[in-house]
Amino acid sequence: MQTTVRNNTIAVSLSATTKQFLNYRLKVISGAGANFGWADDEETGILSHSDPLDPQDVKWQLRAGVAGGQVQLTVPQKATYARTEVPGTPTAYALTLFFATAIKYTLTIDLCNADGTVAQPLVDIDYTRDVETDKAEHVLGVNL
Amino acid sequence: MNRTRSYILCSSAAAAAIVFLSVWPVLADDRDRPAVPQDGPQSPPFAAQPAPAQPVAAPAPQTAINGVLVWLQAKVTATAAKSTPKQSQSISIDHGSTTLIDQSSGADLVSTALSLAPVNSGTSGGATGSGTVTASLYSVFALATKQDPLNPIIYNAHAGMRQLFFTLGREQQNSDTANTTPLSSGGVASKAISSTPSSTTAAPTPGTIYGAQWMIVNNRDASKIVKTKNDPVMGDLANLAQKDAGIAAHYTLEIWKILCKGKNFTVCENELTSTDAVASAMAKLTTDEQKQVDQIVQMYVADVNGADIDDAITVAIQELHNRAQFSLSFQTTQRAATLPNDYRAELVFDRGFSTDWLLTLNGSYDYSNSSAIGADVRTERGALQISRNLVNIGKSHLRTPLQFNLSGEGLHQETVWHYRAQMQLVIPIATGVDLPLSFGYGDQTDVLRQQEKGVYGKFGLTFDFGKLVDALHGQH
Repeated sequence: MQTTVRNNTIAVSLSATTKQFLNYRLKVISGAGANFGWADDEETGILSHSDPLDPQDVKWQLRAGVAGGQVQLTVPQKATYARTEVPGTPTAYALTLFFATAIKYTLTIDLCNADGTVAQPLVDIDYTRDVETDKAEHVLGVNL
Repeated sequence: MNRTRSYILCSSAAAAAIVFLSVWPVLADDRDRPAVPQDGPQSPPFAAQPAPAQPVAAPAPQTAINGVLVWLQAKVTATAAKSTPKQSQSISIDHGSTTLIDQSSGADLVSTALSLAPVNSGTSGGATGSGTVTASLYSVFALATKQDPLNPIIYNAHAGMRQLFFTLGREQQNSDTANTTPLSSGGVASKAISSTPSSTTAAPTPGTIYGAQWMIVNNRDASKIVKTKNDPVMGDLANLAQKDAGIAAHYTLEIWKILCKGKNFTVCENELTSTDAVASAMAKLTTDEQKQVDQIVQMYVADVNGADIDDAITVAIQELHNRAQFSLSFQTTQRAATLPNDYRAELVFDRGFSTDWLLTLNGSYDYSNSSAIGADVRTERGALQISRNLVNIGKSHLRTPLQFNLSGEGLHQETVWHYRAQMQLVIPIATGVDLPLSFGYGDQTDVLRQQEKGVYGKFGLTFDFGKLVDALHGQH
């Protein structure tokens, strides 16, 4: 597998009080559709290619908000996912890519403000397979 | 399982902790710590390439890899090769074809097959080669609408058009006048030939080959697989990907928690961008903290081995490749004047089995329509081929693997059976260009293809223009 890195930030501070969110985009540059799984450090599978998302251009958000003095993390594309943590908790979210029906991906992650403007581009990486059994992992530290 | 581990440079500095998990047992050994099991068929490779040191300006975006290695369990098996064969050689009604068998699907766009002059044709004279061009309906559509056929959106939206293929070509012609009578495919016209001796006195114009194929059952096209709801294999892959991501996130964070204890987490994590940086941070840990890391590593190893994700990926992808396909094919050779025209209606089935093996079955009814009274010939034909991908040459996913084929054909004409058997090696010369070499034996001159009496050899060239164009795209 080959990677081309244009931007890569390892960890980010996500402000719940200002309702910041992370904007993920996994675009299939070549191939029929994405094969991926996204999970958190509690090993909770959150999203995958089995979810009803555009297989060619997968987009989702990790949103932070405050509820009862705690930080609540939600994913609009997965209504069943909600995680509550005390402020200051370090978390991690990982994306695993397979290449059974994809040849090349571009992964971008932006830190966005509540109004949707980009506060900081975090990740911009291409992944290109050599063989179908290739696998790629990306881990982002998300500190609340 | 024949597999090669690969160590892949990771773009994610966040995986530095995972990398460290991989190398930690080695470091631990140096300090008389109990080694974490590393070997065995289920163990992942615990090694990482050294990473160059790099400046870090956290949390500003980093525009380089910064030397962090991502250890991935991607493996390069001998099978990249798992691509199942598509019809690239001339269709079987062309008696000059280097193959006895028709595959269930053709090239995505356009392919050309040139069958060069056979060796030891069994005739006193030589023979000219033959050639065919096969195009999918999709390629015609893309050309007519002036769209880029390799655009993923267009490609995926019209997967159904890659189930219909058309072939046009010129049949092989022997230069020996004794054999210049057009020979029908599979010898179905042999009776007609013997009954029309006058036609052998002058070299006739080679017949024109036409073919159409409809892939009725299409289970291996990636576009179709993606669109299929609740595909069990894709569901398995989704679960695997989530499992793998969960392990990566969990253990990366566990290591970060120890290394960044009491520090600004975001800044600290962004500083752990290489194995050197991680090793340096590890060296500063207390004995108790180092023991905690050891325990995390042991649990990580157990989880990774328990999940056995690499093998599961291989199994899932193999299952996709082994799915059955079924096609209907119609082929004809049309000849000038009073020479017989040949027709073939054929069923084509293929499916993979085991690892890198493919079985193809053909069953056809052949008819040679002669202008001579009583010279029509009807033949039932059966053929099978077992293919094995030997090795992938080059790293490009577009490159055909080196392939070995063993095939046989039986013809039933009136009350007599005849046969041919053939071995073939398909050698990839370049992306989209292959050289098929065939070596075979046929039992009858008068019924089977005349040039293949006894032992014979054939070779040709095939071009898959979709792969050629895709490779050129990739260079930009």
